[in-house]
Amino acid sequence: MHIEPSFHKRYHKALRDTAMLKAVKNGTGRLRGQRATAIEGVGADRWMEFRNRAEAIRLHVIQHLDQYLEQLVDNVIKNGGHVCLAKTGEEAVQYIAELAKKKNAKTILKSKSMVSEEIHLNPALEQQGCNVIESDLGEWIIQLAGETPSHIIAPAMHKNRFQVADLFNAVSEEKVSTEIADLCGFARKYLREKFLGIDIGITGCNFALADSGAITLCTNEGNARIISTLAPTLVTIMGMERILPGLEELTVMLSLLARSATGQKLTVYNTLSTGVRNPEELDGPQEFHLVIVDNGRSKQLGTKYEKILNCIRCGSCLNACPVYRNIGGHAYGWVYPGPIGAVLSPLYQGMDKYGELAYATTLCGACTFACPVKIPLHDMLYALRNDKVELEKTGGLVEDMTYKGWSAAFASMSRYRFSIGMARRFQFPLVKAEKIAYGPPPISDWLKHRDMPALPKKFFHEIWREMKNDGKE
Amino acid sequence: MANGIVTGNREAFFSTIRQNIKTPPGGKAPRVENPMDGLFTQRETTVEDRRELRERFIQEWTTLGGKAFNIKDRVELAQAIKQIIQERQLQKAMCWDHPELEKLKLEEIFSDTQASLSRWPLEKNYSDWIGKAASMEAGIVWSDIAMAETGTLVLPSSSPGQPTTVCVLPITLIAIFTTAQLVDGFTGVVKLFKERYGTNLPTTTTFISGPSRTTDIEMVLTIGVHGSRYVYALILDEA
Repeated sequence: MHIEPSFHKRYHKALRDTAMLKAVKNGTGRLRGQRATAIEGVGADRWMEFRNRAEAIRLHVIQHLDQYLEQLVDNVIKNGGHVCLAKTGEEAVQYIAELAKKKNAKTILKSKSMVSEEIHLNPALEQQGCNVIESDLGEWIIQLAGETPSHIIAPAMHKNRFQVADLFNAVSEEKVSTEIADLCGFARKYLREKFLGIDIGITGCNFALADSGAITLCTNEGNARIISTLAPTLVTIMGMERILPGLEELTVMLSLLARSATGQKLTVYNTLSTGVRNPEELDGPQEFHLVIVDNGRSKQLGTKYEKILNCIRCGSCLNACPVYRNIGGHAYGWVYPGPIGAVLSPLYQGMDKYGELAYATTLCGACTFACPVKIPLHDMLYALRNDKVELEKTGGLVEDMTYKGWSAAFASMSRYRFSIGMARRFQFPLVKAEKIAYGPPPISDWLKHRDMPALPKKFFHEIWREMKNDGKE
Repeated sequence: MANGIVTGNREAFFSTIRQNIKTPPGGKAPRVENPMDGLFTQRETTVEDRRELRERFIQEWTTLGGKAFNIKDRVELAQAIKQIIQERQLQKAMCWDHPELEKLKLEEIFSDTQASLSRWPLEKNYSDWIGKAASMEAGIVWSDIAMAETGTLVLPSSSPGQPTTVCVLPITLIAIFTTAQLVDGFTGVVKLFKERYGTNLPTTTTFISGPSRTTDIEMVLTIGVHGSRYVYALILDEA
C-alpha cells in the first residue's frame, strides 16, 4: 500500500474522511471510559503505585538489557528453541523467509505482531508464494482491505460494519449480513479452517521472561493460542526490549496492560509458553524460533529517549491524545500511531522521514499522564522538535533574528514593558473589533485559520497595580 | 531435549547493546525487590475464606459472561453436567486425562446422556487427532488454580494428558475444580508456581478469564470469535 510521504497531506486526507473520524472518536472515547472505570476499581493511589513499580521494573530491565537478553537466549536454546538475533528488519525477514522455504510452507497464520508490520514481513512471504493470513479479527479486516493498522489494540477501529461486510463478502461464498455477530461468526468459520491447515504460525511477543525463556502472549480472541497450539513450526517475533526478569514482574505488567488497554482486569487469554513440546506431547510446536529484532532500538539506549523502550504497547496514549482522536492512525504514516508513534517513528525510521510528527501534539501531556509505565511522551516530543530544528537549521536569518529579539525583549521586565507598549501603539492597522485577523508574512499563515486577540489597553498586571495603588490612597 | 541454535552474530548484537547502555549519574536502576508487594492481596486462606473466594470468583466469572455452578456432591455434579449437555445440545466432548477428573468418573455421568466423552489422547498421531479434536463440541479440563479477584482459570499443561488443545478448540469449555484451588489473585499463583516449578515452567500455561471476546468491529463486544463462546466453571466444595 502506498503511503503519502507528507504528513501535511496525510492529515488533510484524514480530516476529509468523516466516517473514519467518527469511528475513531467513538472508539477512543469508549476505551478511555473503560480505562477510567478500571482505575477507579483499583483506587487512584494503588494505581499510582502500580505505575511507579512498573516504571522501575522497565527502567531496570532496559538498563540491564544485555544481561536479560543473554539469559533469555540461553534459556530458549536450553528449552530446545532456536534464536535469531536480527540487527535489522531485513535480517529478520530473511531468516523467516528462508525458514518458510525450508519447510515448504503454504499456509502461514499470524497473530497480531506490530514488529512484523514494522519489518514488512507479509509481502516478503507472499512474494515466495506463501498464503499469509492475519488471524486477529481487526488485523484480518485491514489485511483484506489492504490497509495498515490505525490503532495499536484496535487495528480496524476506523471501519464500520458495512465496510467490513463488503470485505468479507469478497472472500465468502455465501452472503454475509452486516450484523456484527454474523460477521464475527463468519470470521470464526473461515479462519478456523485455515488454522487446521497451518504450516507455520507467527506470533508477536507481549513479554519474554528471561529466567525461564517463556514467551507471554495476550489476546482476547484466543487466536494466538490456537496458533501456538496447532502450528508444527512456531515463529515468535519480539522487539528486543519486550523482556522482563521473571513471573513476578509479569504479573504487574499484565495487570497494567489489560486495564490500560481496554479496562479489563486481565486479558481473556494470557499464555506462557516455553516453546517446543515434550516428545510425549501431541500438541504444541515441534520447532520453535524466537526472532529478536533490534531494528533501531539499541540506538535509543543511553539517550534522552531511552525510556521509550519501556513501552508495553497498550495504546492508552492514543486514546488520550487530542490530536490522534481528531486525525486517526493512518495520518501518522508508519506502524505506530498516536503519541508513541510520533516518538518512535522519527527515532526508528529517521528524522528526515518522520520528524514532522513531533508537531502532531498539543504538548498537553495527556499521553504522559495516561502512560502506565510513565514514559514522558510529551517531553520527548518537545525534545524531538528541538532536535529537528538543530538538525535542519531551517529557520534562516530572519527567524533567527526574530527569536533572538524576542528572547532579548522578554528577558528583562523593563524591555518587556517597553516592547509591549510599542506593540500596543503600532498594532492599530491590523486590529478589527479587538482582534487581529490578518497580517504580514510569516504570521499571515498562522492567521489564516485563527484570530489573535489584539493587545488590550491594559493588562491584568497593570490593572492590578492600579487597584493596589488606589487602595493605598 | 537437544539445545537449539543461535543464528546471527551474537557477539556483535550484544556488543552494540553494551556500548550504548550508559550508567546514569545515580547508577543503574536496581532490580525491584518483591515487585508484587502491596499491589496484590497476599494471605494464607482457610476453608471458610475459600468459600468466600468462591463467591467472588462466581461474581467475576459471570460478569465476564461465564456460567458457574456451586456443587456440593456427586449428584449435583451429574445434574450440572447434564444441564450443560442439554443447554448446548452436546454430542461430543473430550476431557483431560487428569487424576482429579478421573476420581469424578465423568464417563459414568456421560453414559447416562446423549453425549459421548473421549479422554485424551484421542489418537496416537498428530495427523489423526487434529480432525477429531476439531470436531469436539466441548472440552473438559481441571483448573489447577483459580484466581477469584479476576475470575481466572490457571491451566498449566505440564503433562501429555493435559494438552492445551482441549481448552483451545471447542466452542464450549467446562472447567472443574474444588474450592481448594481458589486463591485471591496473582500472589497465590506465583507462590504455587515457585514451589512447583521454580524457573522450569510447564510447556504451556494458560490463564483464561471468561469467554473469547472481541470489539474489533465498531467497538461492539462480541463473544466467541476464536476461542470458547460458552464457558462453565463447576466448583466443588473441598469438604
